[in-house]
Amino acid sequence: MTAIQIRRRSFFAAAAARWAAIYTAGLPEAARERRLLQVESDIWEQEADGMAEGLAPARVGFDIFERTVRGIPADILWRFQLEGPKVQFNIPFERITGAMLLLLIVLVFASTSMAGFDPARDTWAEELALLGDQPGWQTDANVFFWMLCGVALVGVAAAFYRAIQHASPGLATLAAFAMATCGVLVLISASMYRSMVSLAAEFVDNPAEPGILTASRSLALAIEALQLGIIVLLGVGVFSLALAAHRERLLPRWQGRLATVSAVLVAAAVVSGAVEPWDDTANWLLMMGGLALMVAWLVIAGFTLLLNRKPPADRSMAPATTPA
Amino acid sequence: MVFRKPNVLLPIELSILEAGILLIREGAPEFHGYAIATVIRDQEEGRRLTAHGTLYRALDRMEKAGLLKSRIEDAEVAAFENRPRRRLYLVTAQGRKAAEAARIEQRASSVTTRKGLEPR
Repeated sequence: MTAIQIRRRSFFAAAAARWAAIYTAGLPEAARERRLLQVESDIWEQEADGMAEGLAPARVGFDIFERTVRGIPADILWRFQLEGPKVQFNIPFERITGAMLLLLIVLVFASTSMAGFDPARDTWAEELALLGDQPGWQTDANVFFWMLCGVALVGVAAAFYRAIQHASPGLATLAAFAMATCGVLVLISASMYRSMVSLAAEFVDNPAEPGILTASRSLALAIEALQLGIIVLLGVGVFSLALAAHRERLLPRWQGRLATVSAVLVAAAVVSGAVEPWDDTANWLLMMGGLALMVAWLVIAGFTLLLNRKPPADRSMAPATTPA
Repeated sequence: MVFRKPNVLLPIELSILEAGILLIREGAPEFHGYAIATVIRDQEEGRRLTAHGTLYRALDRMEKAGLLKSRIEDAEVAAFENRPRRRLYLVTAQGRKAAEAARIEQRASSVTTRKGLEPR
């Protein structure tokens, strides 16, 4: 028999192979490998058959996919019958960590976008009037979403601690502490925001009422200060995770450097912000650059860990050997 | 959880055994999953290729019941053809007996049905 070139798999055929990887996730290695090998071999044979018959790759891929879809109920039943009444999804913690990193991106954006107002003294009355005109449902939705983010950050902190404390207890503690504190600060900020918007509504009804401007501006300045704390703590938490991942060799070295650069930029922005006025362009660029790199690291590291594939011993194409 | 009578072959199992026996007669006693699926499709007109889930679940079940036995082919053979390694199945003597018994039972029940339909 002649050697056959490795073919570029169609999207549908790749999806069929991916389904097998999904429904066998967490199974004992032997059972999983056996099923994956059966399916991969079958897909390969059907593709080779289709090519030999002159069918278009997309058509062959679709036939494979259709065959897979028809077998989904049997696949799921097979899984449950294999494990009996107690089904355990032993998903590697790297995948869980990857998924949590991706969730963290949403939380980073949400947590750092709370201060959408300018608390400068001379324009505060106008800002407050705008906040007061905001529809009630919008305020409630904002507050609910930020509270959810705060709780999610505390939950993610606990999950990260559980995931990496056995490997890097110090870094796990630091990351968990930073994220949990960040979550608490987000919750406090959300409460303050709610109070501020209530004062804004009172201001709109009665602009001459003394004290409303001062009280509401105090809350706005406090929220702004808390935002800085949230950003710093998120930076500490993410950097700790990056260090832990690098130490455990879960991620390539260049990703660790990316996280380091982002941490340095955020730290530089915080330090220069303490020295120079906060709305200085350089400070803003440093902070935005640091946050952008942090988000980039979260995306790359998250997908790297989530899609972590360890090829099985038998499944990969064995290297060609020279026939005797 | 199995809802079936003991020692009764499911239709897919009988199809696999009969296709495997056919391949033995044609001089290819060992078969892989895709090969048996194509033989089943060719034998039963209008049928599509058996779904992965149905096919491999049945093959595994039949192997556990002793109707088939399997082995993984040599890595060198697969490497030479640049493809994944196949799991090769073989119908056992027990499998042949089970298929024969199922065929006899099918014939007997079809004769009974015909007798019941014949005009008196």
